Amino acid sequence: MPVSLHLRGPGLDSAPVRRGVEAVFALLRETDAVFSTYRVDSDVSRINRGELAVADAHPWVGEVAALCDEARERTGGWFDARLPGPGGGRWWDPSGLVKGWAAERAAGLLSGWDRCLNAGGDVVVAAAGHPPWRVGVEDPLRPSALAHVITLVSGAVATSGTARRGAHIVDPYRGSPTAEVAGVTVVGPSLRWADVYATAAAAKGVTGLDLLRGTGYEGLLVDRDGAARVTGGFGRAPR
Amino acid sequence: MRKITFFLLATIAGLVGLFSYRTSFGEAVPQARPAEAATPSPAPPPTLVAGGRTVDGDAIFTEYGTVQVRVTFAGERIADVAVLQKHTVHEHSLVLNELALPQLREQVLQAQSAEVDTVSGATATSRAYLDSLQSAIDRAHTR
Repeated sequence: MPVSLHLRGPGLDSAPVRRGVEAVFALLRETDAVFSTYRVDSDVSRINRGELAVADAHPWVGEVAALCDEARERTGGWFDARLPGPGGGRWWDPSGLVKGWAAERAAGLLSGWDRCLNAGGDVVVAAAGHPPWRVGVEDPLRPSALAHVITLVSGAVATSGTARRGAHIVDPYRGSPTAEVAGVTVVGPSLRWADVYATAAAAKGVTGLDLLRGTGYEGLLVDRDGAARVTGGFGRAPR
Repeated sequence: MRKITFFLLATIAGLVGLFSYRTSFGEAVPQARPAEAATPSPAPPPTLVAGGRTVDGDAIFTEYGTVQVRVTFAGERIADVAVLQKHTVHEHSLVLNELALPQLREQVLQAQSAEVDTVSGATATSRAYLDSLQSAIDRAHTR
């Protein structure tokens, strides 16, 4: 997955910036080593094999486990890291939360600079006194086109979707893939929660934006027929 | 305003597994292994443009393979975008390539540079394409 980091402003060719950028990617690498479900030696893989207790794992694991519980509560159960596993059991896969959590934390290492970090389509930006960042939202049914452009001084944009990569979001209540929604984009202050809400809304279906009510997050949902829905504050003045 | 872009491909290779949304079982999502997946196809000859110059974007690794584009500039305008490498890993990605890459090229030529700083989306193909394109544009502007 592509990770790109854009910085802008004066004084970028400096040792502090170089150290900050190195720290960003070092953090992302360490996150991968701890949480990747594709690495047999990651903490998460060892936990799922019963070889490691959460209490004995990297301290991030306990933090993420608590956030996954909070995410399940905040979304009324529509975000659930306990996926149906082989043999009818449950499998802990926090990837849907870790991506936003890690990208947000990594971007925070560069506080003080105008920054835009894009981790596989999930974006966190900050612009101090400069023009806002312009974040295009991919049209989930026509990936060559943009469905919307969000101008954002500081905050996060996360997108979940099923249209082009097949149904890979599981309805936690039925345990089966969901395909009502082509894509959901959520905008708000924190990438970890924008990402959680986008995933939960896509799992819930065409009424998924109901989950955003009262949260301070705004959303755009495109269903599989191309019809778009937005929350009341979506696309208002940049924040 | 000065703008610089960092791409860290080694990290990307490592992060492919974590960040590809495998939230269901029973489907195998292929992982990019850059050392093997990056099989460059023969570079197409750049479009002949009077006074034009070509700049290669970074090779961007995705879970479906590698995407890299070559941009031909005529002055400040983008005259053409050619695909140097495209996804090779999985049949699904070949379908994406057939559909997505020509559309993306048209889009870029019409828009004449992205009017956005970045793109939020769930499609690995267009992300990789735009990242490679962005790196080529950045490179063209910084030399």
